[in-house]
Amino acid sequence: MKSARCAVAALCCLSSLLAAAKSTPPKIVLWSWNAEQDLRFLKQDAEIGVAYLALSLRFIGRDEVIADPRFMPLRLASNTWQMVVIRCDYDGQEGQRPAFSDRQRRLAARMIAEIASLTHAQAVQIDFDAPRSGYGFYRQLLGDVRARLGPNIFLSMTALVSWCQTPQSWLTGLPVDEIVPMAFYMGQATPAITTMLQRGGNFAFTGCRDSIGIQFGAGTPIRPRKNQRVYFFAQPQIWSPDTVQAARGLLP
Amino acid sequence: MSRSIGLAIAITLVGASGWWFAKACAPDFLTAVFSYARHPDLPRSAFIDGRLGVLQPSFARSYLVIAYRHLNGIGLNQREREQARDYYKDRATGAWDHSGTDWVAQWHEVRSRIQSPPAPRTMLITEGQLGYNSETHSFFLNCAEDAFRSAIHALDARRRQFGASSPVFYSWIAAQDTVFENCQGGRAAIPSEAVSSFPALLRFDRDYQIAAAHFYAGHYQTALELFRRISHQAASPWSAISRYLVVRTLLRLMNDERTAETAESQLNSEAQSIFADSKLTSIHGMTWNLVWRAGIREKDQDYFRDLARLLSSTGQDNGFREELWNYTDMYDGVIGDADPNAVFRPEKPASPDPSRFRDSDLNDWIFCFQSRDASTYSHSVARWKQTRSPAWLLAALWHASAASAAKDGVLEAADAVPETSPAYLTARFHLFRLQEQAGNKAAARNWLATLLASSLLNDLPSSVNLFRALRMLAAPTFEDFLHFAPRKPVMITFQTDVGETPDFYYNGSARKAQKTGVMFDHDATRVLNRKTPFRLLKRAALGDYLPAELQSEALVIAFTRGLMLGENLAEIAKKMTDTQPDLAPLANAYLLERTDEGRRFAAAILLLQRPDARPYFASGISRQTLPTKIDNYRDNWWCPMDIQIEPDSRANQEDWFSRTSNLLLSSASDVAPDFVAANSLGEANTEFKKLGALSAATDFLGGIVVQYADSHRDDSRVPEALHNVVRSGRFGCADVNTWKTTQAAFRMLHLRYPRSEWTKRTPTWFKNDFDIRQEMKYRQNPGN
Repeated sequence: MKSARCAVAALCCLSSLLAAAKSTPPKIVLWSWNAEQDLRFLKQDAEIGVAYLALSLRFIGRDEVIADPRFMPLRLASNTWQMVVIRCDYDGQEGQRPAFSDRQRRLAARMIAEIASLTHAQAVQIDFDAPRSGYGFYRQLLGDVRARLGPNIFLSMTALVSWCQTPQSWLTGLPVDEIVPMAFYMGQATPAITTMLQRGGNFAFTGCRDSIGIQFGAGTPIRPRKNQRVYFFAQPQIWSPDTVQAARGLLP
Repeated sequence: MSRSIGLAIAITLVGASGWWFAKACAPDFLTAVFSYARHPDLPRSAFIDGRLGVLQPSFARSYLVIAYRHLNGIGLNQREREQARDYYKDRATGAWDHSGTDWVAQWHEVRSRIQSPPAPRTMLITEGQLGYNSETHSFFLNCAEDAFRSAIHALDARRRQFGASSPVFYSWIAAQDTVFENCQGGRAAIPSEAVSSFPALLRFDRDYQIAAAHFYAGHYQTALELFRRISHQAASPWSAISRYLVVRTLLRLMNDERTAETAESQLNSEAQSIFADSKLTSIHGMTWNLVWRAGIREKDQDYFRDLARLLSSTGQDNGFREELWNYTDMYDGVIGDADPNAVFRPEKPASPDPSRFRDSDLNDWIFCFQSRDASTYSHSVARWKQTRSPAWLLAALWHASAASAAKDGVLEAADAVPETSPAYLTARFHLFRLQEQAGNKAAARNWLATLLASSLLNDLPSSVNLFRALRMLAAPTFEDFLHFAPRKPVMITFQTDVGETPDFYYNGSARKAQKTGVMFDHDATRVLNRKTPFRLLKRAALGDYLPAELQSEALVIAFTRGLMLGENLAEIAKKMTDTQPDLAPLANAYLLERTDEGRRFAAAILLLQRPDARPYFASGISRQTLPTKIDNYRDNWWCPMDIQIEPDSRANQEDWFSRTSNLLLSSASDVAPDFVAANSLGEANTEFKKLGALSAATDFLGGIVVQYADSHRDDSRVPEALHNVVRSGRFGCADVNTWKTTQAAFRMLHLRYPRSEWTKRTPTWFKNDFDIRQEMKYRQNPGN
């Protein structure tokens, strides 16, 4: 019995060690999208990380997945915390609509693993918006990605705010370390969500409460809550010391 | 090695977006192309191989470069043909021929079929070509397509020489895999040196593979040293290309600020020494390209002349694509706004400066061959007499008149061009054209009959149509004219497809076009509409000379024109009842009428039911809506005939988007077929004057209907006829006073037949504010 307890304790220690090995994002993360950027000025700032778009995937028709890697240079100081972002998209045109097939899932998982390996990623974020018919596909894809990356890589995903507005969201149980609701470009949901967040409300789905994605420079800024990790999006602007300073000023 | 894919993509996108913008701001009218004006017949393999067909001056210059080589006996060797195909692939037109080679995919395919050693796995996201730069967190094109093409050729050669199962071949493959491993970045992988017992060729290969591996791994200083060493090994098959790769490595070193300055100076001196070495002709073009990319020579006349010299020389091999790219770019820059070939010409084209083209035979020839200025003739003849080159003969022929061609011996020379010459068909075209212009139609007719029956025109449908056009003009009788007038288009596309792109967007809808069979081109409709009297048009309608589709169009046209001229239409109506089921009841009603007034009314009723009715033929796809349906773009009934535009419904569309005109077809436009003899022409002209006095369809048909209705109130056909007059005024071409006719019809309908179904279906009357005369005046002279 004692030996069993020891074994359990040892396993717990091991798992917590493994967990500790996972590189958790800092409190502020700047998204760097498809633009040439030099963010070496962040080198003194351990509080700020960068999540950069490294690969875009587009699902087309029955089998096709088109990979479009980043061609825009991004310069970072070696000590800046980095996250690799993979954007998944699809074509809604008739004849191009994706089947979200098994083959597409397998190809996408392999491509994501390739970019993670090539970039020596410590953290990966999957950015996507999916039609209802794609929920199952993405659930499985995230499972495949998790299996390929292993437990030590921090796996983040973005989410439409609509997915976060119900306690029983389809996001429940996804094998990710973080869900980042995108509180910008929300379309018809903008007034309701902005009002809710500005007045101190929170998303109904608890998995959406630890992080938030907001757009820097938007007309009606949404201020993050205390202890919430913030991903700042600045497109079409690019980040400069001044804009980073201004973004930091939005924090509580 | 290849020019940056990025450039090709950028050009493609710019080109594509141009078409897209074009599409976004204009309606999509279908058009029929009878002979390509921008490019040769498809697929272009035959053209690249020297089967030129009839050359159009409006062809893109890359085609003229290829033509020039064939015309002057330079030709293209196997590699140059491959390069030409790759050039068109770069221009994103490779798919036109379905023969573009994806060298990267082909390498992976070839490699996967070799079991031992097993093929390495390629990353999906890099496709084995893109390198990852961890400093910039971004990808770049590391191994260009040509690397894979070169590897495929070497693989084939080594396998043939050493055998697929030999250790030598195994070693070559393994080393090549290692070279390509570096394409994707990551840890450098360098092949080991070849063992000394291997044949010398394999050892040379290995030295080159090691150098290439260092290059792709980003070890540029090492690669530079190794390429320099190989370039001095005269026995190595990689010696010449390594000279080029020295320059290419220096170009990459220019991207590093620490080495940029030294690298640029070395690049320039290395390049100059290559250009000075006549044994290295095959890499001159590629090297020029690197110098161009390094920004050292831009818009430089010496460079322009040298590119032309290279493109006029044998042995360009793998440099041909680069040279063609740079040459066409450079030519565009030099000719600028004076380009007669521009798709969208500036409002005030500049005058070209011939001196920029005179110092190279190729430049001079393209300039003269494309020129629309007939005064270029004397220079072309002089050059032909100096060089006796078939290329210059064709330039002279294009600008020649029948008299000048005979005087200068050009005609005789054209006749002497042998069948085997790539110049043959173009020379024949001009020879026949000039013969016809000189009045020697009988001879032209005989020659054309022989040519059209021969296999020389197989798979050259554009050329066939051009020769059919000449044959049509040489027709001795009206029936013979009708036999050669219809032609099968080579393409149905949209008017906005000014590049004659076969895979133009939405071409799927073009394929659904209702008319896809034989049609009349502009040269035939010009004669039929303006130079053919009614009695002959009637013969065309009643006879069986035309294919069914054109026959039914001819019936309606002859019926319309006959009504306007006050002719007896009984025979035409009888033919309609026999052959046109949809028109039979209305035609029969015409035949049952006993008075002239009644017949005119019945004829008007028939034509008001047919928005496609007009007293003239339209070329190409005449109308894009079913004959009985209203066209959304007012292509309904006819406009006033005295408006000074060609009576052809297409004229209204071309004002917006002009396709490149068929210059060769236009060059024969002064030839009239024999049946257009003086009396026929006089007859046609008199009739045309009468038509011109009759205003637009609604005025003419509406006038007949209103007049008849006034005295035949009880005729049950009247309400519908009045309704159709209002309808034609609303949707058809309106003249200044059309509103008066439609207002009269509308009032009559509502006052006299208030309970009629046709009155209920005519709730509103539109006073047309569209004045076709003002519109046409504006189109002809938009500046005023």
